[in-house]
Amino acid sequence: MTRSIFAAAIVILTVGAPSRADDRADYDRAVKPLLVKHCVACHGAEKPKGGVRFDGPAPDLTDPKVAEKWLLARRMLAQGEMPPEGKPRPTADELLATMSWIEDAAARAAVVTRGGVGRRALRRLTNREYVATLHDLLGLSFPHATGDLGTRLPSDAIANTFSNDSNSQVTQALLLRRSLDLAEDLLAVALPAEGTVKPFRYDVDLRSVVAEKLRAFLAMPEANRKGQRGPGIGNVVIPAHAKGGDPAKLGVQGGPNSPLAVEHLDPVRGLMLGPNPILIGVNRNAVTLALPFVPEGGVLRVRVRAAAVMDHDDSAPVLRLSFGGPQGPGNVAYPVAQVTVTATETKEYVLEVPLVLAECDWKSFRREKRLLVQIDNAAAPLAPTATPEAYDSKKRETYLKRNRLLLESFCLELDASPTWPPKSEVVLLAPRDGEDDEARAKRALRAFLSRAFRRPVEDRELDAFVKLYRDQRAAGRGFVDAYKTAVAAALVSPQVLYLIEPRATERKPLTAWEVASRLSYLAWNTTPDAELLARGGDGSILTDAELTKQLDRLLADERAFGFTREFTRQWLDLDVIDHLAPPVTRPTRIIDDTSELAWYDKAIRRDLAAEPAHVLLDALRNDRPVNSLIAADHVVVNDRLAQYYGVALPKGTGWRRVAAPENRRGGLLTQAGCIAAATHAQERGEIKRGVYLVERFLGIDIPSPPGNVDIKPLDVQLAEDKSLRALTARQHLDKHRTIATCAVCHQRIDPLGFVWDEFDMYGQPKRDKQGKLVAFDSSGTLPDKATFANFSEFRKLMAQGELESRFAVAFSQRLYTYVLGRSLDHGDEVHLKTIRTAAAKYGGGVRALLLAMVLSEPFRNK
Amino acid sequence: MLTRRNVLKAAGVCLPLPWLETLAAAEKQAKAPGRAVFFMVPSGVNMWRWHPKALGPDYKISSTLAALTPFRKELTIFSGLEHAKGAGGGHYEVGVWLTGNEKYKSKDGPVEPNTISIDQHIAGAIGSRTRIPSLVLSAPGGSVTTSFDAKGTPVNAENNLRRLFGELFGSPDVLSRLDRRSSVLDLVGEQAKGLSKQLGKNDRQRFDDYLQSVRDVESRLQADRGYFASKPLPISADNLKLDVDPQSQRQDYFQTMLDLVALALRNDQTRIVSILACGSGHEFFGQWPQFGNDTHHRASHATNYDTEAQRPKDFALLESVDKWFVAHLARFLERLNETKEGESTLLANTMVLFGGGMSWTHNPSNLPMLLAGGSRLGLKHGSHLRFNPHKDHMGKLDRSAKVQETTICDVLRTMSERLDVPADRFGDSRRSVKELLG
Repeated sequence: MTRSIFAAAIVILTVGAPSRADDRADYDRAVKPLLVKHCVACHGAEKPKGGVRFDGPAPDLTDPKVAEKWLLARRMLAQGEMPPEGKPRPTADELLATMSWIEDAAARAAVVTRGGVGRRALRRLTNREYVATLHDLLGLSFPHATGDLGTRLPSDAIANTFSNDSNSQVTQALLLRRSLDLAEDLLAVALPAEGTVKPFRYDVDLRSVVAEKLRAFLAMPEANRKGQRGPGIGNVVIPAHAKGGDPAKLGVQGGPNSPLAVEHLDPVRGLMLGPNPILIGVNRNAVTLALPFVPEGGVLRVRVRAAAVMDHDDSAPVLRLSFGGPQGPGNVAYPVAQVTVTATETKEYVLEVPLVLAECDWKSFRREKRLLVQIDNAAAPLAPTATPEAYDSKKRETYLKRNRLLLESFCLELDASPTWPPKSEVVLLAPRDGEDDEARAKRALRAFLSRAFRRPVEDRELDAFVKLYRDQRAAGRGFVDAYKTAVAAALVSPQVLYLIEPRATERKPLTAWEVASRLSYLAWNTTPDAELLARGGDGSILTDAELTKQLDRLLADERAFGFTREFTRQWLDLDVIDHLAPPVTRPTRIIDDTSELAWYDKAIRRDLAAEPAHVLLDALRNDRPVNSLIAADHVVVNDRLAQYYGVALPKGTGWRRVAAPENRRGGLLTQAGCIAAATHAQERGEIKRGVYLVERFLGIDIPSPPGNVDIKPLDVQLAEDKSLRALTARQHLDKHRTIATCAVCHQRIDPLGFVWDEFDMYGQPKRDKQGKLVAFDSSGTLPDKATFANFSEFRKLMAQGELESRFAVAFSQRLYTYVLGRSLDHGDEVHLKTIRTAAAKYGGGVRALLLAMVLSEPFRNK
Repeated sequence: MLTRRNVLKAAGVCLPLPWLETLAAAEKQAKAPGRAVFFMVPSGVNMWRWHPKALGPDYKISSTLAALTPFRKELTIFSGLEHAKGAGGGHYEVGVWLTGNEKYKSKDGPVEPNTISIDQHIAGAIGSRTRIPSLVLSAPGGSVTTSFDAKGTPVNAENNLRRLFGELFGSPDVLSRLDRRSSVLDLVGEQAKGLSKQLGKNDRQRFDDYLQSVRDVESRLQADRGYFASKPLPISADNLKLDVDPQSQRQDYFQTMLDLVALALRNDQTRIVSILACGSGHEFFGQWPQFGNDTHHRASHATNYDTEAQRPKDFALLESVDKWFVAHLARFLERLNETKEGESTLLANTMVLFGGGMSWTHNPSNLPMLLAGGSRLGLKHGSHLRFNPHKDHMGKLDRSAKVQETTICDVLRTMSERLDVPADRFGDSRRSVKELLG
């Protein structure tokens, strides 16, 4: 049975065989009849409509223009746009034959255009890789800053393949322009322009503020403070530190769990903040500091002495920093940074925010000449609270028994001394005695460019950048300004934007530098660090031993999460989870007052999307068996997901491994995120689920349905045809499989449609309206006709056979596609076999598999 | 009538002669391009005096709209216009006005992303034909806007007139900034050419994409540079009121903003503009001293379905605010109308959608909206059109007239189609509004 799956895989892989003669024969047999019958009348030699002709010989799809025309034709046929309305429709068989010929020819052409079998086309960095690379090259790191700078670049999402697939990448003017914008912005953070940033510092000791207010409050006669929960705290004047400047004003905003209530004030320890129950908007429990000006640039650093008051069995408090203006439109506060506070003893947390990168309403702030800095507790509850008694509908407030954030003191500073930030030494070396400006620029550029280009810069290249510097100086710019222009040019240069691997026509091994780059972008999603560059420099990375050592070192680093996240995100279509929020009416302000599905909490969806990446990382680092990814007796979860799955997780922080409950023993196959992504929030998601399993877990690509079939989602069919309602879901699916043209694919898809019958669209056990679990039937048939009676049999069929299991074969194809950064061609089948054999020899784990791929010939040659 | 005097009046400043010659040259183009302006004034109106009573071409203009009398033949007034499914109720009006997205709720920031707004939809198709793809303006600025991009995030709105001026006519350091970018592009272009030689044939073809991008960005840069260099600050900013405060100096603020918009359209720097007067219910314009420092939003809430006699003060306040904005609109239309473009006028080539997203007491039905200009784009004006059964002043559903069901998205789509940008599935749209077409 494993064989026949393999055969299916080979069918896909052999697509790459370039044989022009066969190609033409196929064309004449499969495509020409349809064209002659349906197309040539309008698109022939005589006045071709739209100037498009289909009466020629077999086309050469390696010509991009020709390929574009034929792929468009394929799409129009598939969607039924052509032939136009009123003309006879082609039969499904004709359509399938023609469409698959075009697809095959396009795949073959892709191999040719990238330089032949086993090669990859020139690859550009993906958006995420580019953003990470810019940070690393400029020595910037803002681990707590919120916001995704990748969204400033045009999206590089590519359907059905990985965004690092060199064949599918496009480079357009907009990308270059936005890249330049981003590079200039980040450069301004790394090397602030001389003399533009005005430094300041404010120190706030909340203990003394609280002590004073509390003393005054308690000194009031009992009768006077009746009905008041605590003293108001507002407009407390905080003088600017040392260098002078206008004072800022401290305030505390109350709300549910009000920090203004006496029980939240402690003259010795400080002030305690309950979590904000609001989705977006004004943070109602917040400490605010209103600066009487808006800083123009630089990096704002906020040091907070804080601790977690863990009175309850719920999530740890999250220290969040936001910017807002009290008079601002909609009173919106823009979150700019956050960190989870787990220490129960007070300790210092440092949040750094580069101001030019903070996305907020600067226009309003500047207009009001004020920046309101807010600190609040942004902890999302582990689960939506099901305690309606804690909700006061009149006040629209919840009184939550949640963990509080203790604030003892904080300091807000922006420093602009010439040596700060010290990180800028990474970009611009300090001057040496007796060195003139140009010599310094040249020395600094040599160091910077060698790092940026991931290899020693050539003199010719260096000269060009030094010349740019010189020209800028000649045009009257200052030293730093002119130097920055040269660095900005480097950051958008082709040497940085592309992984350039110069080569002749014949295949040859990568250089040591190129191996270091490939490895770094594979395991870290970013540019090589000093150690990797050193191994490139001494050439040692070319040896198996060193390559193995470096891969292990990279996987152990936290940056490896970037790899597993990117790979799983695209392999399992996890981005979709964030958008799957079926419409349910709910209050927009308060999320805690409903006992609705946990799904509607953004934090849950974020964690579900991250879960596969954590599982894969855990499997890589511990070299767990490949099949454990879908057949594991444990789960890797955080507190929130543990709650979602109903498992007891021992106390701790972060993502931990714990024994799986009965219904979650399928690894990725029982993760709610995968199930939800597969189901697409459809009430009747069987077909979607089947396609997801076939494509992503069995590695069989399903062609899009032919356009002359009137396809409607199952629930629409149900709504339109009442007779269908008498059928069970299974009978309904069986019925549509009796149509011959549908059966071709659906006999592979549908029998897998009920594997997840146990789960609803959110990956939770299916329940009826009364909340009772409903009966389910997970039985089905695999495309190779192996049958299973329930989920555990399905899992067994998928996972049996070690590295030759159905799953392991499909998984290794997907992973290899990502590792190589190109679609696989027929030449790779041999390599994949060797890789699996080698991986089995290394122990058969996921790390062993990845290692075998990294050591394989296609990875190390160009 | 493009006379030197008129342009000067429009700019409110002295212009050097070469600029006028450029204008004249631009005029010789065979066909002037189509433009669209979307101008929203939120928070409701005095419904007793906004819509004319009679329908058809012979309506008597209402007191609120009286200032538009000179443009009767150039505009269409709508009754009964609304979004499908009553989208955009209450203060959600701003995010829904140009998107028609019934699911969008935005009081304290969006709960989920919006969908694209029509101005960005159009700009996506034809924006690249002008130096600035689209202008997004609002008095509060930032994310308070009617414009949303393809991802549904608000397009950052400009509210600073000095920056707007800089964008349109350059700022003192614009040329040096462009020069620097230009040197950067020269360098990376050269690098790419050098590297290209080391690459195989196939990779070299892919590399051409990069070189092409460099050339494209460079040519936009050259366009900017040529534009800014040919008329280095043609308008002296000194005479423009660019630093007025939108709240305390609203008269000057709006006048200057609309003048700048008219100039930008005139100069074909952009063809798509969205303007938002203020956030819905934000009381952005604060108090109106002539009404004892009362606020517009409060009055709008207070009026309910009452008669004017029941709430004279509130209705009077609403009416005066309505008239204030209509006067600005009239002045703007006049600016467009007095600018000749070949045989026609700028107004004939510019569609201006004006109105708000509230009627009676924050209701999203029978919205006060009108469409002006664009007769050369195929719009037929001069009527008061009525669509959809809608609630009358008593809050009862009025079914007396037989009317077509038509949504705002249908109107938006029709405008888009007039600019040759298909929008047949835009929002909830089901049809083009044929009643508007000549």
